[in-house]
Amino acid sequence: MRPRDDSKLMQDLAAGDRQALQELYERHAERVFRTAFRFLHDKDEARDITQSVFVTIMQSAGRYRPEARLTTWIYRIVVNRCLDHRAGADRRMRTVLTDREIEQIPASEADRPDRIAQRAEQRAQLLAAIRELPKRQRLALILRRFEEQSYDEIAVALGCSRKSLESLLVRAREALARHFSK
Amino acid sequence: MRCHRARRLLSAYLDDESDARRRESLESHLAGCRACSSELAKLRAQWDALAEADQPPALPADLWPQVLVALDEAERLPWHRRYRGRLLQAACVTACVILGFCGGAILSWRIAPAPSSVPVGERMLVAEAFDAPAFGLGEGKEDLLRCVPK
Repeated sequence: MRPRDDSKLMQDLAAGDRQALQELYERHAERVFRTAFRFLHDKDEARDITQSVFVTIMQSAGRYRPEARLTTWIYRIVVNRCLDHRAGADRRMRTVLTDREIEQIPASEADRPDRIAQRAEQRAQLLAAIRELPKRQRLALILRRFEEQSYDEIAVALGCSRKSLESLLVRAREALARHFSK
Repeated sequence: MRCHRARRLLSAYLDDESDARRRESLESHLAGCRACSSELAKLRAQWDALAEADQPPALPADLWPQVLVALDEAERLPWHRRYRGRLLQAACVTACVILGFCGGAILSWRIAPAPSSVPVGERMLVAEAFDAPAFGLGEGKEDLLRCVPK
C-alpha cells in the first residue's frame, strides 16, 4: 500500500483516524522534539511540548488547509507552544552547561584531552549565546539554521512578515557576533 | 551602497534569500570593501560553528504512548476545560468591549455641561442684572449663567 501523503493523513485524522496520527508522529515528531529542545534546552520540557503539539494536531486537524505545507503548520504550533511556555520554566534555563553536560559531548578518538576541553568550552559558549537571545530571535535562528526552513515558511510559523523575520535574523546574528567578540 | 546598509543585507545574502537586485548591489559593494567582506566571512564561520555545536538528543522512544495518554485525557475533559483558551479569549474581548462602552459613557457624561441647579427665579435675576446696559453683557448672558456657582 502506498503511504498516505500529509494532506491525506490530515484529512483522515480530521475524520477521527488515530492511525493517521501515529503516521504523522513517525514523520514529524523528531523535528518537533528537536526544535523544542533547541529552544528550551531541557529534555523533559521538550517532551511535554512534543506531546502537547500532537494533541493540538489531533484536535485541530479539521482546521488545517492544505495550501500551506504541513511542516510549516506544525512549526507554527511548536512556535506558539514555545512562546507560551511558562515564564517559570524559562527562568530555570541556565546560560551555562553543567560539567556533566560538557562531559557528554562526544569527541573523536584522535582528539587530545586539551582539544576536547577546548571544543567543549566553545560549544558551551555558543549554546549559551543562543539561550540568551530573545525568544522570537531564538526561534527564527533555530528554524533557519537547524531546521533549514525558508524565510517565507519561518515568517508563517512566527506569524510575522518576511521583512520582520529578516530583521529578527539580522539582530540574532549581531547578538551572536557580539557574544563571540567578548 | 554604504557599509551600514550592506551589513543589514549580509544575513539574507548568507541564507541565499536575497532578491537578484539586492544580491547584485551587495556583491558589487563587497568587491570593493574589505571590511564588509571580512564581516561576511566572520558571520559565515559563526554560522558553521553553530551547526557543529548543535547536538540535540534523539526523540525518546517512550514518548508515543504518552501522547496517546495525553490525547485520551484531552478527550475526556469537559467541554469548558477543553475550550478554556477560547473561552478566556472571548471573555477578554467581551470585557474590553464593556469597559470601552462604560469608559466612553463616563467621559461623555463628564464633558457634557451639567444641568444648572440654580433655581429659575435666581437665574432670571442674574440675567436681568447682566442685561443692564451698564454691564454691556447682554450677548454672553447664557454663558455667564453657566458660571453661576451652584
